[in-house]
Amino acid sequence: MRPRSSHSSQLLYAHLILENLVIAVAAPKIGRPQPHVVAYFHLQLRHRRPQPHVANFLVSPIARNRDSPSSVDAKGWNGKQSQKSSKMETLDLTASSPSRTSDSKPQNLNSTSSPLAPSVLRLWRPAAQRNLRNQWPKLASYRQQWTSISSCGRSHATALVNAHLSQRYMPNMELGVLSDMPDIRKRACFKLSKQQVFFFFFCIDRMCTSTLEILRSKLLLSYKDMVVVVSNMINTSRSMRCFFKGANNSPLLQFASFSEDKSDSGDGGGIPVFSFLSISAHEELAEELVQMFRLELCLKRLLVLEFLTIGFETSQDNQLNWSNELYVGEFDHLSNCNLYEDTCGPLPPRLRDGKSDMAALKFDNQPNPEVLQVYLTTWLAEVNIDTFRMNEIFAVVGEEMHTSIF
Amino acid sequence: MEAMVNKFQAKFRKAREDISRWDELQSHLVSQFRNASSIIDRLQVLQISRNYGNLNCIDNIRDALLSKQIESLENILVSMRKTLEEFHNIVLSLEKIHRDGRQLVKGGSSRPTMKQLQQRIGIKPSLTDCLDGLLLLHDIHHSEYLLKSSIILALSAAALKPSGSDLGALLQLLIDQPNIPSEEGMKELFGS
Repeated sequence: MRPRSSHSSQLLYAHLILENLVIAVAAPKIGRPQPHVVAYFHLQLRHRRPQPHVANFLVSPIARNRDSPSSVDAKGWNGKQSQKSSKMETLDLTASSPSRTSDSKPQNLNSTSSPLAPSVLRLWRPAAQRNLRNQWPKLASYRQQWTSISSCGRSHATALVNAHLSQRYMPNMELGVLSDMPDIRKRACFKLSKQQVFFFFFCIDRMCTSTLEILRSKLLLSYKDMVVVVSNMINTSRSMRCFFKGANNSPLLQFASFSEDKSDSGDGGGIPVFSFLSISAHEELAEELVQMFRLELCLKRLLVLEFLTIGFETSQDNQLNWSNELYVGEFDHLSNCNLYEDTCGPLPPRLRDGKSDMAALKFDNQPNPEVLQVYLTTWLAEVNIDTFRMNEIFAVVGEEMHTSIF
Repeated sequence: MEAMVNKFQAKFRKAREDISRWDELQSHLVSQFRNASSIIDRLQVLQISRNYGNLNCIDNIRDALLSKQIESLENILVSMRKTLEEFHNIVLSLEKIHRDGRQLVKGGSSRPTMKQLQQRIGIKPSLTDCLDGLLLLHDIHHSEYLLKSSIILALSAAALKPSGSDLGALLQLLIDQPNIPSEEGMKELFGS
């Protein structure tokens, strides 16, 4: 790409002006623009004007000839300071030293309380920030999932209760003129079993029972989903730390709930990750949040048992009680949530700072409508989840991370 | 005169926007009322610990559940009051539209005569009709707003004393909006 005509030499001049501009732009990147550096470039340019190979600049400003005197602006472009031409060595040093000090200053200030070296923290902090920016929104989305699953579960439970009640009171119910029609119940049941439970009013035979069965399994599925959500929440709340893998200088970082290296606590020595909160403070907030859902899950388990029991034949041997596993693998999930102990089974439901006494527990298969109403209300109210506090936690963390989690 | 009637048409368009907003708020308020009244209905059942069945094994569950329900009832009542405030804004806006209309006719430099006021051009209504229509719109919505305020007040009172109050009747009154004519009546008003 060598210029061959007078026209191209004019072009060349334009490029030189352009290059001059580039230096002015690139200089702040390297650090504070040093007067003598700029002066040097001017000198170089004026000196170089007749040199035709400068047109290389047009092709690729970065992949320039190392020996060319203009290699400094190549460094301005790609920011690397390892490239050194013999001519520019002294200039390189002066140009790059301010950038180093200005980069490390704020970190030095923040890391005064940490036992770790500033260079280590410089690696750790961005990785830890990225990790937290990933984990918190996950918690927020699990919370959304919980809300939708819980409301699904509530509608299943309501349908179950309604179906049961209408079935229970059916024998005393006047069907009026409808009772004269042959097979009316059978037909209605056949049709309604494919439709909403709402119409189960007219259904008293076997079809009804099977629909109760379907509703039971739906409710159980909702419960299972809730267990999975809480389990995910807990895993997320345990993955807030950020560990160094292997040697301290290795750029590889890992996020996990435990570290292979005992000396690495994964919290950067307790320094604030963003502006105020350390890793353990983040963990405390997440734990407070998770605890609400954990307690609520326990309460929901009791309610699910209650709803599964209603209308259940008493003669059956498989009487439900608290220590039954409701679905295959439930106890594994519960023990992951710290809600199951091998000695005493699933932990009993309780309120925060409260106790419970499961000894006298006896599941009634024909509870009063009032009792059922209280159960449904309890499902809806989610007494363990303090919405105000939960929003507060998300707001605090979001402010800390300068992002909105919602 | 015709230009003035056109100006009134613009005012009616504005009033129509206000009223469609009113309808949105109305359905919002009705659902809020339903939620509040179902909580109030439940409160009595929730107060009897016999009704808790197996939940009695959990300490303080009754108090926790009651306080949670009352908390959400309070939230609903607060947001109902906010909705009511928006209804009030609509009433104020309708009042302003009417006032502006009157200003247009009586405050202008060319004060029209009585005959001009009642003159009809083609199928268009007379200026008096326009003014009366705007006044009526403001009046009916204002009365309805006052009625809604007292219904909400009755609801709050019922929250304190659940027994002996007929929330169903109050809800029906809220839905019916007795001060506002039915759809056809409204269409007639907007005929211009």
